[in-house]
Amino acid sequence: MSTGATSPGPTGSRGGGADRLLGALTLLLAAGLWALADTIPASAFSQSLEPGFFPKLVAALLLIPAVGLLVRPGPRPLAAVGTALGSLRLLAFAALLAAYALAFPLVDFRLSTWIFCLGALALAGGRRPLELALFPPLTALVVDTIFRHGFSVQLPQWTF
Amino acid sequence: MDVLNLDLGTALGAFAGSPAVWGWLLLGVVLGLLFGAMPGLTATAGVAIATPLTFGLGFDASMALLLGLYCAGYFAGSIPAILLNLPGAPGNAATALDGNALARMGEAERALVLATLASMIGGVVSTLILLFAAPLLARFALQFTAVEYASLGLFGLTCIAAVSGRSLGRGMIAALIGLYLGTVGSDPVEGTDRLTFGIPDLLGGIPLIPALIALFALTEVLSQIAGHGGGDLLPVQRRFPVSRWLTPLRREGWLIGRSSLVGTLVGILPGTGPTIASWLAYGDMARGRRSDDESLERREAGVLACESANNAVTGGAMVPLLTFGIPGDTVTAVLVGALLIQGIDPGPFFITQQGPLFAQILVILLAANLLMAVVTLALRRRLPALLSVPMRLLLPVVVVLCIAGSYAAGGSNFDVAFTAVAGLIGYVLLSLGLPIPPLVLGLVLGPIVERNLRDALTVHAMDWSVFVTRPISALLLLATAAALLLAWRRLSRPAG
Repeated sequence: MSTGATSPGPTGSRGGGADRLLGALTLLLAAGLWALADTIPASAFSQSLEPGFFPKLVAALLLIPAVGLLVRPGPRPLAAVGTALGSLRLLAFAALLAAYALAFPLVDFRLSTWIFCLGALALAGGRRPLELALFPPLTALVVDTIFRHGFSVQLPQWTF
Repeated sequence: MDVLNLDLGTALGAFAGSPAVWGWLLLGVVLGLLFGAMPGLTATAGVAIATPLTFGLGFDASMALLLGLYCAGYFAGSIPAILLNLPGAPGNAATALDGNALARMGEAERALVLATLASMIGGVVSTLILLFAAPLLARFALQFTAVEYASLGLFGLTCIAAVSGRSLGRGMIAALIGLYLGTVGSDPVEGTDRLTFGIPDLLGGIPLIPALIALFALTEVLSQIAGHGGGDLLPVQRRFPVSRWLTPLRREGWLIGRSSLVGTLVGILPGTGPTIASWLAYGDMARGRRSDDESLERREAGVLACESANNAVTGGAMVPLLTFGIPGDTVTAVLVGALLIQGIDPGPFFITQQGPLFAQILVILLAANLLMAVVTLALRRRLPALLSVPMRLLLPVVVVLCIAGSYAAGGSNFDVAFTAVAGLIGYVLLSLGLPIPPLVLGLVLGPIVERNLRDALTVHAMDWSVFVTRPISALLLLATAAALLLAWRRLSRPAG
């Protein structure tokens, strides 16, 4: 999987659904972004384009590809989107990532990284006891040491 | 030029006969490789940290340390970009597109070798341009006002077609979302808060390095987890023997030359930098090639274009520094301090009055590019070994590096949370079929286009005709129209 031009999920027999969904969502997004841009205060003394001009222009331009996708959708089926987003393992990993990031300023980096690596390894298919026991603490210690002593980056640390 | 030739000979002799300077240069190159390759840490950070160390060093030793760090730091971000799809710095984001694709084809060594050689060539070409045309180019750079910058940014946006893959519509949506996100923050002209939702950390705009880390690396990790749980290995990596190195370089010689020139020219324009240079070069490479071409040769060309442009910025950015005392990018801004530490005032008289020092800088820049290539090529077989690590182990490490790297970039807890959220949103967008590179392009170039467009209209009393009456801007707009026409023809050509 690459972040290039491809997207996740298999292809199916009924095509076009994914692009129609994307087109519809983009229409909604364009309306929302325009409304947001409309809240940007304009200056009475402005001698140039208003601060909201560019965001509004971009929101309006979004209509063109949105309509294009609705009128001439590509072959990608709707099921591909559901498959890409609906995996339980993915949702668990996303929750773990969010918890790791939110805990970052509160918890010692070594401890939070240890716990994160343990969970991530288990979710990624790690089952060997030795791997589960050694890999998370070693990763936490090595990364912490490299950043703290190699690059003088003070990651969160509990001092006792 | 006679005086310069004499100085160059003397400087070469002095440099070659000084093992201590070589030692400082090697240290700079190694530090640059480490700083550049670590996500979140950049060459700028490395040079800034190393600058105080030069108080006790002579001119040649301090320049060797800092310029070694500079050249290697700009290149090294391509190493994690190729191996992990995790650009070490914004300037290497474009390299990740084809570099990582090559690694997935089992050609990581090929990608690393070509990136190294292209970086070296780009660096050397830009140094030679600095030698022969610095004053001329500096005068050219002075003609760039907000009007020309806006047109240049607009031209850069034509790369969207090159990175949109098979659907220009989806690419446009992604790019427009990126452009919209680029407007978040304090308004560049009037200072009004825009779309910050009261979050002070967003006043400076979307943090670029955390955004890149999230959009390239975290979306990749999430794709792997969703795809097959991370249990698989990448394909066995193939060797890239020395005897084949010259083939792609010969085939793409014209492209490398053009990209080096693009990098040098972008480098001399203050406020730009390697990110814009590499995207412009990538767009140039993609023009005239099929949008669905995923061949080895096409991927090689992508890496060669991005990396030669990326490192050509180093010599280009030295042009305004050494001719006017104006830094061309963030690293040269720090280098001003390093020169002042040595009691040297970089400015209009530097080249004429300090010829020997100018020659020393040129020799050190050349040597830094060569040494960077030697060190990296020596490691070319060891680096792809990273890809033999099972995915289940590699994925957690990549996430930890993303989180620590995004914190290191700005020392902000907000950046860490932003990285996680942006990664998750990026994955949702990817699942909906939106390509990530156009979004990044919009995010990078959007603020440049908007700020300069509005500045230009303010200065010229809302007179839009200024964009076509100023010759450089008119040329850039003409090139933009031509690029759009080419992209349209290329995308509407039937596949096969």
